[in-house]
Amino acid sequence: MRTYEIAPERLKVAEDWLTRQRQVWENRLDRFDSYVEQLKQEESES
Amino acid sequence: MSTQLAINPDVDLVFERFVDAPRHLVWEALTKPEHVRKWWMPRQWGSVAHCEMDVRPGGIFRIDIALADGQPIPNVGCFLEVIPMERLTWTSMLLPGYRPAVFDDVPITAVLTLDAEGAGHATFSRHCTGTRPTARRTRCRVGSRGPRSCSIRW
Repeated sequence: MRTYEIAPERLKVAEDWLTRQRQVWENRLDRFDSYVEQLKQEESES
Repeated sequence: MSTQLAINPDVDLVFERFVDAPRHLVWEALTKPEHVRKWWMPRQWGSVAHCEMDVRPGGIFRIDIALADGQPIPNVGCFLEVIPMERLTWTSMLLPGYRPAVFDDVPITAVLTLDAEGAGHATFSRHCTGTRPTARRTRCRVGSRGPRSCSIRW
């Protein structure tokens, strides 16, 4: 019974963590994409 | 050489991207500190305080960040697998030299794959494996192709 009461909270924490991580990485990958684009420009100019 | 890893949607995050650039640039941007420190953090949140990448199995993966208020946050891990231009695997569960780590935060292992796709294309995948139950899996494809492009799947 106690396990069942705790579990939904832990699951929510886990879900929140994953949601946050996904957000962090989506944004990070956007920046990565822009940065590589920049490197490509610089390489073609040199 | 490609190893298909099983995805557990409860604990894994999967990202997939196309990046319109040659593979060697993608690899450099991923592995050289002078590049990594430029895209790792959003500027409004802070910066990369220290970045060290010894890109070989057992080598150090380190991207310490500093938040806007100066608060430093260390982030050290260990490379597990390195196939230049193709695959990069690292984990925060081990310190460099494969020493077991003690960690407060949720440990992750990242597997990053650059695949070739057609002439001059590459796909790049990364799985983030946490140890908490009940997860959400994400697959995101952002496409953009030119005569020489690289697609990245995280």
